Amino acid sequence: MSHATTFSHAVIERNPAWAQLLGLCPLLAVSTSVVNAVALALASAFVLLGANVCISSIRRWIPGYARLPCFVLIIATFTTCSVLLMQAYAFEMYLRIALFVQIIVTNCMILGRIEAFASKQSPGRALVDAAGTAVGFAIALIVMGAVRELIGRGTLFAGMELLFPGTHGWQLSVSSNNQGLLLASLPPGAFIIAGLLLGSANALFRRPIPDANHRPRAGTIN
Amino acid sequence: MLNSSLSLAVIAGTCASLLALTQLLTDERIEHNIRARDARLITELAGTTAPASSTWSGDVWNLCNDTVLARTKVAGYGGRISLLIAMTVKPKKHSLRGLRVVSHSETPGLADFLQQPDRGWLSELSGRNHAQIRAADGVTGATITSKAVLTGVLKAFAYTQDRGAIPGDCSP
Repeated sequence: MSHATTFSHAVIERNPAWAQLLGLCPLLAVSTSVVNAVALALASAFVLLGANVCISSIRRWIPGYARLPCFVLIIATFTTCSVLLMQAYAFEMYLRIALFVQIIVTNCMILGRIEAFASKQSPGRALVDAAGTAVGFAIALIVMGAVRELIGRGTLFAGMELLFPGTHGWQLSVSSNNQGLLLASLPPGAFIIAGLLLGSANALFRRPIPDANHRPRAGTIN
Repeated sequence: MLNSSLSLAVIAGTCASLLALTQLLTDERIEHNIRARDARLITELAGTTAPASSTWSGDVWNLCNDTVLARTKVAGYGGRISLLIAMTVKPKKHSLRGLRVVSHSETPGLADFLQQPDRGWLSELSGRNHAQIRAADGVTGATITSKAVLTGVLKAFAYTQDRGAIPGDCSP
């Protein structure tokens, strides 16, 4: 598979959110606004890229029977680094989503890509796959964040300056009284919107149903 | 066996040094961020920069002009909520002047109002006295969080009332 195919596969066909349904906890919990979504997407991308490339480069030295503890140790290292970096460079943002940055370590999306791909492939391919997965997750998070912020609060890009200094005034207000449909901000709204996202992604990207004789083997995550 | 123990040790050691390095590089900035934030919160609440000579006496700080600052922690939904509370203190007549949330681990999104002291629920609390705080409504979807904040305010009222005069350097 070429790098381009690996990338597009990771973004669309194997998208962690709408195809594999991995990492749903942060996806549902943090996507209340665009800025929260962008911040979590960046932190997840950092951990995903760092851990994937790192594990792929040292895959020959990781003993098979102790590979999962090794993977988790390396993911935890990168997660803690992202926590520290966020505290140093986006302190106010960190205070808003602190818990969900910390639990990136338990995100099955990351461990899944490492176990299924990075631990068996060269660092270059692992990097492309991680980048694709990160972009796919970011798309899902930001789409959810935008829809929920728009419906729930009637704004878009509120608080962007917490993440990128100098973006004051990016906020778009749709409704004048700063009130929206509260449901979209609450967890049930997250499930409803995630379901709609899943449905639209299925309608858009669904592959033709394969011939019964050429049905892919079960569990072909790769 | 020896080989794999060795590679495990090397992996763990490398992870530890990577962490130590990041900590070393960000430590100063994080400390600075925390201090800058605390100073900013106090300035916001006090209206002016607090006199350099005065400082915390226990958990209260007499800023003079009838204003007392109190810090308190209350149990929220996801952990402790650390509050900074400014009160207008007159004999038998306390009222809330302003309130800032220093740190919390409440559900992101639902508890975003904790970071918005100038609008919404937190701003509505300003100027209320003991009885009005007691009667205040919570926030839909964040009942435990908002009730915890109210408890914190009542705690601060009770604390300053019990202590009587708050020591403070109020000389002009």
